[in-house]
Amino acid sequence: MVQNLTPPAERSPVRRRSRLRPTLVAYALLLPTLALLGLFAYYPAFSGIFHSLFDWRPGFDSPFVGIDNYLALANDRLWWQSFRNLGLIFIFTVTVGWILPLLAAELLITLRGSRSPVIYRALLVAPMAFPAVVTVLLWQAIYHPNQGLLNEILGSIGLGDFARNWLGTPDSALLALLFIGFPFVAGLPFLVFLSVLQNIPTEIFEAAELDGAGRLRRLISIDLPLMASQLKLLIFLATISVLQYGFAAFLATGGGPDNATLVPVLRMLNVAFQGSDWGIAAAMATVLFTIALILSIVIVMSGPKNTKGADDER
Amino acid sequence: MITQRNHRRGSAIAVAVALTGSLVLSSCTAADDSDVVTITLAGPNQWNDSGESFGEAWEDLIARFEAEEPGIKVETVVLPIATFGQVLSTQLSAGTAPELVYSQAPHEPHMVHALDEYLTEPNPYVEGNERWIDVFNPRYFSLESGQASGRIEAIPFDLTGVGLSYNADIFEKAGVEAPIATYADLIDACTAISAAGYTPFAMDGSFLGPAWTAQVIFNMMVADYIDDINVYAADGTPGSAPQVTAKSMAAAVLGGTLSTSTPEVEEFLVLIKEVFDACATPNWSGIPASSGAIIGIQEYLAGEAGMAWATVYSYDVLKDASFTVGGMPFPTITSDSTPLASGAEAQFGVAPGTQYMISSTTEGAKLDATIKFLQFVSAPQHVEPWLKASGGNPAVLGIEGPEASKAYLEGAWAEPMATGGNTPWGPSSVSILSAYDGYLLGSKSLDEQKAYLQDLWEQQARELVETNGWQSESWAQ
Repeated sequence: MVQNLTPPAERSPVRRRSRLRPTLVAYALLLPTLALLGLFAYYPAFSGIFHSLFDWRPGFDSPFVGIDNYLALANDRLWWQSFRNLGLIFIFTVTVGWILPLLAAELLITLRGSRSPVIYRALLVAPMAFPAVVTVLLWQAIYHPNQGLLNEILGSIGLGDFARNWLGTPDSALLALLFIGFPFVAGLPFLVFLSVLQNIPTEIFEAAELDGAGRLRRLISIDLPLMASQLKLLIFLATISVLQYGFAAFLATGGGPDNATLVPVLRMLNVAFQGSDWGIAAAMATVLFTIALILSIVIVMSGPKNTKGADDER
Repeated sequence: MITQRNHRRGSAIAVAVALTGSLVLSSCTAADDSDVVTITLAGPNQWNDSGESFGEAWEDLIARFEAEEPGIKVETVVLPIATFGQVLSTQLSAGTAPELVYSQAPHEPHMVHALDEYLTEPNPYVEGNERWIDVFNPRYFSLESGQASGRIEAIPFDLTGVGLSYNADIFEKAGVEAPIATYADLIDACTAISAAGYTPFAMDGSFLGPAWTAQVIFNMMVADYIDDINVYAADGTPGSAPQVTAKSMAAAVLGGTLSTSTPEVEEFLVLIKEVFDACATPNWSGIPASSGAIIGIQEYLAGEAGMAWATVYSYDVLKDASFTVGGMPFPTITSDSTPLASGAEAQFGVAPGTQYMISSTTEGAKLDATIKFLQFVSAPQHVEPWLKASGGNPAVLGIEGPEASKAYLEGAWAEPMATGGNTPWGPSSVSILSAYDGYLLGSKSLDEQKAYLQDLWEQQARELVETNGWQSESWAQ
């Protein structure tokens, strides 16, 4: 690297301007994005936090009620009950929801040739472009208890005893909801796993092979440790998305049956749109935001800092 | 080259003239339009599957109104059945709702205008009328028909009724005679229809099936308590009302006159479970709801179910059914089924169907225009062509409804429920379905259901107290 030996004071003003210009342009280009984020992300969020202290009637006068909304939600049995489901959703997401994408990524990097990996990769991630509403409605039809594809298949292969009212009974509804999108390959975890595996130098794999490491040993001793910082990112994103979970439940079950698929976001929507209790709904949103913030800090502060740092230490 | 240049210049002049002309014309039009008051009506499409129009007869009604009132223009916004409630409740809360809003949108009293005073003024579209309220059939709509707040918030365009539609061919094959008179007969009929290879009672995941069944059975079972709980008049003052008001029901729940431990209420829970176990479509809770006119519409129209809950709006769909269709009330609960039966006949009541409210942010000329439109729609001679074409039943006196829907609109069944339909469910943020589905599906025992429902009832009563400012009442302390 060639060092610039010219003292700063002696540098030409023209050259300094030309260095400053791209920086200013970058700031200028970022401004509209920041303004839009402020308008459509930060303002509504802070407005919600602010209005959680009011009996919020958006188009009308909204009396200040202090922490009354928080006290009301503290006594809302359904609100707290809805959190129970989040634990199961999180465990499912980081286990079943990741195993198949990881397996698919491992298989994909094993493929030889220049074309087939590209074609397979495209085919595996293409469903990401499908509208989520269509996916949910399609699975709702698959789960239809009396005419659905799943029960028909089970019946046709002699497993009719396993046929059930998938979305209509409290015992199976949540699990059935979570399996919407199976085999979960078309998603961010797959892309992250794949990019990490593709960036591991082939020499490492070859060295492991020479040392007699099998595929499972390689996965445990090489692939997963090298993914540590990316896994932290995925856990962080999974935590946020689990706290925001509700889309499929809203469309397919409405939180039922018997509140078996009720999640905090759905309860918040019901309080806002059915109950017109916008202040309590804002308090619920604030609580969710606070939980997400605390968990995010804990996740970011714990575990490996990043891959680069780990490499440097080595 | 020269010709081409001249041609370009000529084109440019032509474009300039056209633009100037259109600007002048548009400014003239704008000047004319400034005298026109535009009002917007927003609600779900109850008559067809169009996302743009309630149908030709509705457009004709609007055109006739606009011809009579050239200074008013009415625009119709058709909202999806599945989401109209959320859309309208959000707009009402935000103060951005259109002038006329479908009445079933969740709302609070401050979001809509009270119409009581307007109803005591003459309706100018009805010759000789002195009070607008007098054009309505008083059996179904009167100044005592106020909502929980004791105010009248919506004007009915038609009446609706609910009943049991049955497949006469299946009944014949199963040896079931219609109409089924008693609840005990209903359970027997369900056994016979099942034995014949059909679903007795079509049901799906809609809240309406459990809700209507619960309302009707609850109304019969608590009939002996009506005198004790009917303690407030429609305007909220002490007294009584033709039907139990929401305030009376809240007082009964919070005062302890009625609870889920009341023997008749407990028996109501036993009976509704019995009818679902013996009659409803297997796995009903997992079947997506697709119609508000007929519950379990796909199974029923396919000729696979003996009967189904249906509204008067279903006749348009059922006229092309491949089987013989009949209509009957829900059977009456007698001592054959339970010693706690009150002996009261099954009632559902004909109720205002399509109703519209005026958002409280509507003021001045728009408010006047909106009132005029509602008055026009409740003038018998103006609403009759629309009712005839849509199959609706009149909420006003002087015109007859279609013959086909009379089965749901006659006799004791058509009498308003003594409970006024104010069956306690739960707070508005809890769906009616979730108040009952766990118990009906067997995931809650009777005792668990009683405790769960009692909690919901009390929450609902407290919500009503807060919303309507009844905190000073002794039972609300």
